[in-house]
Amino acid sequence: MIKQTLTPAFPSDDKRWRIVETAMKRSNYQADALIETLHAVQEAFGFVDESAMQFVSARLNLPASKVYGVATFYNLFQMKPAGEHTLSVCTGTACHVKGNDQIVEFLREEYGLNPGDTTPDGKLSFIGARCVGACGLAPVLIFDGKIVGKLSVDEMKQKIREWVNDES
Amino acid sequence: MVHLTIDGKHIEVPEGTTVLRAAQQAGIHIPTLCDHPHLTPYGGCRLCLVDVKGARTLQPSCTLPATEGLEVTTVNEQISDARKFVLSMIFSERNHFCPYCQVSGGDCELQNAAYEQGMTHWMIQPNWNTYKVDASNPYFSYEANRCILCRRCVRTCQELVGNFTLGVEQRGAASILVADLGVPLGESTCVSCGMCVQNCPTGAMMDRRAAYRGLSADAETIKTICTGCSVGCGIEVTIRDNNIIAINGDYDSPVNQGVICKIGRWQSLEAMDSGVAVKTPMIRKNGELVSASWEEALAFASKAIDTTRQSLAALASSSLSVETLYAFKKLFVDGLAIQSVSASEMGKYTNAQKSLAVTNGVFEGHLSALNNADCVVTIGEDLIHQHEVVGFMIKRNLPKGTALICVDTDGSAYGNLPNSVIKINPGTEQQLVKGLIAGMVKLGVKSCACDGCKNPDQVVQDAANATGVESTLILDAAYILGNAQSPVIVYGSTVTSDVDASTLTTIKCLSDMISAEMISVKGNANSVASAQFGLDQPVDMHTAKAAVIVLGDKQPCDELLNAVSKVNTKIVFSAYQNALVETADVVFPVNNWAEEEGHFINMDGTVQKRSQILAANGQGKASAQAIHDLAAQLGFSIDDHWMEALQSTPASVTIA
Ligand code: SF4
Ligand code: SF4
Ligand code: SF4
Ligand code: FES
Ligand code: FES
Repeated sequence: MIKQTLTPAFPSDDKRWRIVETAMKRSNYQADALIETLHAVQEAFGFVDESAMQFVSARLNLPASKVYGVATFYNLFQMKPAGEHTLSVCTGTACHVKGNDQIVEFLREEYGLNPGDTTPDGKLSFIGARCVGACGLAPVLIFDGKIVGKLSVDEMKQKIREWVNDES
Repeated sequence: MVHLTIDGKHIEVPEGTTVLRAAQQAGIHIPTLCDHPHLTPYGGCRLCLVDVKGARTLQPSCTLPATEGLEVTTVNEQISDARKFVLSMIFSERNHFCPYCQVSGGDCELQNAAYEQGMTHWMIQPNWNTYKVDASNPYFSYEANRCILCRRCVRTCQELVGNFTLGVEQRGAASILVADLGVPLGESTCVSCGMCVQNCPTGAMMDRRAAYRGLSADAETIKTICTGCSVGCGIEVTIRDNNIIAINGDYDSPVNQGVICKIGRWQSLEAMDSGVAVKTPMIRKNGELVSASWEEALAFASKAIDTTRQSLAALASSSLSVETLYAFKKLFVDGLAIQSVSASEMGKYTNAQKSLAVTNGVFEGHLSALNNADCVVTIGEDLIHQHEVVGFMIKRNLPKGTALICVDTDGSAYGNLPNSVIKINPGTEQQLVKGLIAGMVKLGVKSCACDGCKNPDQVVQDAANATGVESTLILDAAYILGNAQSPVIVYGSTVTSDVDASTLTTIKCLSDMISAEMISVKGNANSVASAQFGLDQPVDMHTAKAAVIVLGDKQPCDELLNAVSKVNTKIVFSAYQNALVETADVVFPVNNWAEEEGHFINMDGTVQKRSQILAANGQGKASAQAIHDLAAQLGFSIDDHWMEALQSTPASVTIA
């Protein structure tokens, strides 16, 4: 493989870019390391913003449109800084019919949140996720990365309230 | 070879051929939408479904490889129902209000496909969501409501143009075509080549100038060439009522294989749309330019030429046809024996090659070498902003692993695409190339017996010092280059303007060492012909008493305006009004590029004919004819042996 001699600078002097750099280095800056790299960014910063996408695009020698396409394809990646806590609600078919439609409604009414929104106080982000592949556990909620399934609508509401209040 | 039957017809095709292509070769029609003959199959629309014996479900023929013994049916009720369903889904995904669409009525592949299936309506509710229109690009707009997400544009931008601007964000029903990181097209990396517009099957991509001016059925399409630069791209011009509606790239042209740039598609029409044509000959009388007849103007001009012969200068645009440049040379160099005669570029793009061709003969290769190159070195030429199609031919191969090394004085216009960007001090191209040669010797990837290479470490160090480039960077590039199997070196004006050809000689040495093809961009459409006719000398217009300037349909540059500002008598041949025409003493109206035919020699020596596609208005004549008339007035007659004249001087390219 031909050596890459063009090295873009980190978007800022934030130390976390080193983690991202290491992730890319591990796969020898191959284009197929894109998803892993975006994961690393998401994990390190909590979101993948424009400067991150630009950096990853330059470092992996990939078109910006490709990076953007992949980053928006997966619900996991967030473009905006997330709230302190993130609640993903699966809106896939199985979860939808098992009650998550009501949870989406509840979040809108109770917290004024539409999918992709964060509360003004930055406490809670709500993400709508298409089938997360755990239909057996439907309805599925993900609290800060932890999957919780098979709850009734009331239990879920309860859980959300608890969880939000508990952490505040 | 594999054998298959399609609709009972026995067909033999090479392995790897898709069922769709096999059917097409056998003259069997299968409807398609996301497929395009010049793009890799995508298999997204499912319109091309066919029945394969033994298969559980219908198969998309555009992605299905033909295999031995395959039995395919392309027409039956199940297929027809499936196609109608597919089309209904596509129609209802967005808002297709056909009566408002510029391609409705024959130029929309979606609408045509529906009619072909006998559809008059679809049973599914449309998606009433409205989508944004992106009208931020000056030449075309994107209307997402009509987009079928076939991704032909995305593949075009990647595979043909190498610009990688377009992509798709989100997924499923939320999918939307985007540029870069979701910015408006007009603020994106898009270079406005319009290839995506040309390849879009629907009205989603709209050529803003061409829209609503007529459908293909109302118009005529003529193949010709673009003479915007020395690439000489093949184009297809759609005309109606003596007006140009649209220009598209010609996929049959071996030069550009269909791809063109914004100059060829749009900018070549700007002067025609907004310029003011010179309608009649004009003569300056009492300080005013007034209309005159051709006879009067010719008499005036010939008298002026006759009386100022000793201090006359003549300059012709190197974008004019071979016929015009030949007549110009015959009259002023051979006939009137004027010393100061040249073409507008004065050899800037051809001097060095012409010198080297004297001893080396033809040493430059064909543009098509770029298609198979595994390493491209560009030296002193920005192929992003000039000769864009050459840039496209390089960039589109980068994802396949072609290495790109850019040697440049101001960093690189290529963004993050190159494997190596070598930013050198101005004027040190030769040292850098020497460094690359020595670098390969030092690394042991190539050997060289010349004196200069006896001490490669020293040469690399010297190169590093002179160019201001770190020696490790030179060695990295040398390593890439030395290991390439089919390298190509592309260079331009910083190398080619030098009559001594010293840098070019070194590049030739590098090229011999690695068996690289050499290609140089040549500026205007007929720079090669200008040089072959000897119209490549520096001419000082400042001291001339009279000047003949043949602009054709080009605008005079500031440099030229300055140079002739003190010249007493100016004889100008121009298609349009401009600053030079305003100060002229005699003006001859000549035709623009669409109104006159003629030959052009492109940067790799390909001789091509530009056809006349519009009837000329007013009293304008073809430039060559105008010069013939002036010659006749002066008592000369001009032959048409331009091909012999072209080939009588050694050239760096094969002129054929
Ligand atoms: S803009 Fe045209 S080519 Fe691009 S995806 Fe939409 S319909 Fe297809
Ligand atoms: S105009 Fe050319 S560069 Fe711009 S998006 Fe279309 S294909 Fe890409
Ligand atoms: S690259 Fe040159 S010849 Fe080709 S379309 Fe552009 S201006 Fe015309
Ligand atoms: S629908 Fe929620 S996990 Fe599949
Ligand atoms: S043409 Fe085959 S799937 Fe679109």
